[in-house]
Amino acid sequence: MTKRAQRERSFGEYVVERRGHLYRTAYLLCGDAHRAEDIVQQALTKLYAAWPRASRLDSVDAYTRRIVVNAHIDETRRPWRRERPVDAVAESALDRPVEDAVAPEDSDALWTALRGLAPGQRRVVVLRHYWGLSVDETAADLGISPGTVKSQTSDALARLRDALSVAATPGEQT
Amino acid sequence: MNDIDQRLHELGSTIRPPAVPLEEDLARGRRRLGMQRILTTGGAVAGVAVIALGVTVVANLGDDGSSLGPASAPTSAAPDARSKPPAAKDQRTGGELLKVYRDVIAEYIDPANKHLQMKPDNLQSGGGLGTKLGWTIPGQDGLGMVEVFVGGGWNGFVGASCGDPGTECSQTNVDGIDARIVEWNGSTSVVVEGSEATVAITVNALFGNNSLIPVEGMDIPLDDLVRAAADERLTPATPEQIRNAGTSMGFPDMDELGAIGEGASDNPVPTPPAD
Repeated sequence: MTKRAQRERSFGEYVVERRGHLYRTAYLLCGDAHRAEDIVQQALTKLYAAWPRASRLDSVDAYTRRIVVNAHIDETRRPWRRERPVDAVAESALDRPVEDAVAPEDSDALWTALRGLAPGQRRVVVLRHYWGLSVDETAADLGISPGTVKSQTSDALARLRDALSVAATPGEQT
Repeated sequence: MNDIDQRLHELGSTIRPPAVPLEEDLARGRRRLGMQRILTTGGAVAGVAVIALGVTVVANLGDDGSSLGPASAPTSAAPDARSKPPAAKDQRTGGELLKVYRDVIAEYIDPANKHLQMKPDNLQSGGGLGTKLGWTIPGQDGLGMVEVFVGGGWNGFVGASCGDPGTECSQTNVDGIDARIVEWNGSTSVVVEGSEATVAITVNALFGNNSLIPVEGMDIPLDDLVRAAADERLTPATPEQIRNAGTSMGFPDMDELGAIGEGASDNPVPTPPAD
């Protein structure tokens, strides 16, 4: 088997197994099916180029996850795509997922609350509570201090729980 | 697993990934790899050409430095390298350098230290070193942002290019200092290109990554930003300072954690081990 064939075989196995999880991560970060797919394509393209070295790492997932998160950071910096924090109630101003890509969560209170977080807080929440990373691992992924991870997690969870409790008791909304 | 973990996983499970043929991912990867190889080869060829030109120039200089022959077409690199004394090695860590950046700009825009975050706690890298600092106003819940970045060409770290839609660029001169002003997406960036480095200071009433609430009345005079950006104490970081900035600020060592990756410009990422 040639080197290229070996690369494509092992890379292909990884993609088949993990593409879905990477896409869900990207979607939770950006909230848009097209942008999530862009992010995943970028990540896998970079991963392919680095595969001979990346595949020897202890965790290919950690490497790929970092590319996905970094792609999201870059995306939020681009002026034409930069997210502007909005009130959770101003749903019309949010990016909407494409039809048929995701439907059930569109009305989910957690989804709305997640989109209401600042992008940095959303990244912390996704890494810590979807990927299950520790504070240190999250800090390393995002290039921020553990203290910042802790404070952002605390603030973000308080916001999420607030939003969820309000959604659970709609009669109390003012 | 707590309630948020569980809800997030339930939410994730409702997201249906598109069916993308593996061959498409492979094809994109092959294209990128091919492009990388072209660029690497091209860069190496260009590097050899520059070295060859430098050698030619030096070989054609007389003892007094005067040109001996027609091959001494002017180049900037070789004569400058000969005439400049070697710079003293900067022993400060990257974290210490960022604190210097913070303190220098504070002298101009917040001399009483009432608004600007005292201690840098994040890194901006990629062509230089910088940090984003919070800006608070007593009595307000909002959080503004002041970013200082010292590096090479400015396009890579201001976050917008003058040709981008919605971006406005202009030039100004303050006390003889030429500066470029870039207004984009609620941010105002002041860029001063010096002989040693380019300094960009970006101000936004909302620290978008960390807050949902902007500060009211973040009235920093543009002239002060220009003067701050021109301060000679804002020296560029050495490669070693860029490398050690994270650990010197108490961030986890990413090598030890094995959490490595590639990509964003503000995320210091070690490269994978060599082949």
